[in-house]
Amino acid sequence: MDSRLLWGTVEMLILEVVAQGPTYGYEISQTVGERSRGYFDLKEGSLYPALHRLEQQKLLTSFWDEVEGRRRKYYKLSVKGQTALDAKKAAWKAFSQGVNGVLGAHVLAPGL
Amino acid sequence: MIPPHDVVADLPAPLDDEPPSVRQDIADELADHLACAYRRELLKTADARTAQQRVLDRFGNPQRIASQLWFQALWGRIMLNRLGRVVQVLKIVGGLLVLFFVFRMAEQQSALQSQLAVLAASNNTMHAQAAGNRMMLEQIARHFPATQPDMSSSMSGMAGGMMAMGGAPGMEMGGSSAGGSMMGGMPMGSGAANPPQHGLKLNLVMDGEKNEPASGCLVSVFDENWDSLTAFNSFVQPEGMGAEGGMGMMAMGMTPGGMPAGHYGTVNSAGKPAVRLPPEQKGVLYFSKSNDQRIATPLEPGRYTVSIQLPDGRVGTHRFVVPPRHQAGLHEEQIVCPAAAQKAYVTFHAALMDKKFVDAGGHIRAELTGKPLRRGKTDWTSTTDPQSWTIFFDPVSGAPIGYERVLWRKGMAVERLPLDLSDLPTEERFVVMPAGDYVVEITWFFDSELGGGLSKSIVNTTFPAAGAATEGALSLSTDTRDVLLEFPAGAVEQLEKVLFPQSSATKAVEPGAPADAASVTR
Repeated sequence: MDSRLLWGTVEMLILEVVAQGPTYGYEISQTVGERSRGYFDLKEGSLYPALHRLEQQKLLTSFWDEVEGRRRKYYKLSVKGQTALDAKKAAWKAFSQGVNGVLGAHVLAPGL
Repeated sequence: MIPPHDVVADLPAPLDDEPPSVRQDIADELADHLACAYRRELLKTADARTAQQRVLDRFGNPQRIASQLWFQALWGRIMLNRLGRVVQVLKIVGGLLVLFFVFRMAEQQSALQSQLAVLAASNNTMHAQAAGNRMMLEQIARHFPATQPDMSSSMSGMAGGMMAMGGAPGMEMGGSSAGGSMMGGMPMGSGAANPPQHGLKLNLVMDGEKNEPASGCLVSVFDENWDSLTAFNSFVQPEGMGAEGGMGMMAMGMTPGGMPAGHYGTVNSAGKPAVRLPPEQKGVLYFSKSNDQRIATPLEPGRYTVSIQLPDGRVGTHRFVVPPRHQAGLHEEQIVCPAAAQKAYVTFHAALMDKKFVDAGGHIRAELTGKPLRRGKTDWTSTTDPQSWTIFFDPVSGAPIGYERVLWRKGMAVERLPLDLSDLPTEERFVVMPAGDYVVEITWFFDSELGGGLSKSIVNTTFPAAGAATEGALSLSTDTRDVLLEFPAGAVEQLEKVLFPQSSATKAVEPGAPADAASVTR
């Protein structure tokens, strides 16, 4: 996909995944890949700068746990993150409806 | 798979204030992801190398991601550190600037203080000058009481000038009209000036019954160290400052019409400062030893000499003494200037010598030296007329055959001028000389090869002016003005004894005839 289209939506996708419950980086990348059916073919490492930025913005909180002898960092959505996610989703819906409206009208026009 | 410590191996050196958990958290989080991905890939392919390669392909460069996270975590601190360094640099630069400006301010303050010190010194000098001017005006005011009210405006103008110099008037202007006229450059009023109450007053008069005031002569006064006294002509000038005086003051660096003049910029024939006595001075001059020409001080006890040079070249020397314990005040001296010198025309004759003396090579010579003319305490000599003559006589006839006279120029003997009279008739062999007192020294001398011989006669005599009455010890006819120079008493016997000892041995020699007891007769 065009990475310029993805750039503004990665944070919204992360917040949406984290909103399902506490999770960690590898699981977030796997979830995004499965739900998009491989559409978002991102470098898994590029996910972490976004995670840390959301954490610094207080949209995510984190905690550590030990799994199979390794330390693992879990993220969960904060109240502020939930608000931000709602706003992003509303904006995305409006945007996509607008885009779809234009694209749908154009597609339907030949059949009229 | 990649161990956690390898993930953060390329991170920069820890910051001073870096939290210790930052690197470990990054390493643990990325290592957990890589471990999970490796296990996933290892399930897909049994080859560990392939699985590891696929993990790295999908994850990206773990070290680069770790560095990105580290900068992201510590970005604020890094910026703060950089900002702190910038602030420190700015502080240092600011401190240097402050030091620079403080140094410049100190320099400027020092320069300002120096200028203030100079101004203060200048101010003090101006105050001192103003005080001196006030004292000067007060003294002038004392010398010039109020006699001419119309001149007060000049004094007011001068006082204004003094105020402009930083002084204050501070004195009564109405009572200083004469001083005001001097300062203002106006002619002095006749009789307005008061003479100094101290110093020396010279009254120069011409010789004669009327004692007319002298004028035109140059006058200098010296103490016994030959230091010149200062003149105060302006105090006695009755009709206004003369042109010469004004120029003299300018030569002394004073403005015309300013303070009283000193020496008028004139020197006498000896190069000493002198005052030219103009006719309007009425023969009166004032002098003082004060260096300040505006202040006349009493004469200190000592010996003083007044030098007077008359217009005809005669020079007078007047000496006087101010004794100790004298009453301080104005010391007065009168100087009598002789009238112009008159001429005397004298024809000398020598007594005839015995033939044996002539045969012995005898010659006769007379030296005449003019004596200073004395009038009172003043001796007068001439710097232009000859003062000495040498007259040579024919031993056979006794007539003068020539003479030499010493010529003077500007007070100095410059040459001996001979005059041959041998070709003239006897009556025309007279000598022209100033009338006056002379010392005549007559000498008879002989050739040395005959044993030599010398006899002298010294005569003090007076040659009166032509036509004047005969006077003095010398027998002189004013009609003929002939003078006979004779052998002194006993001189002949002495000469015979010297020149002809054998023949004179049997003669009675007149002993002890005084050489200076000469008789010079007509």
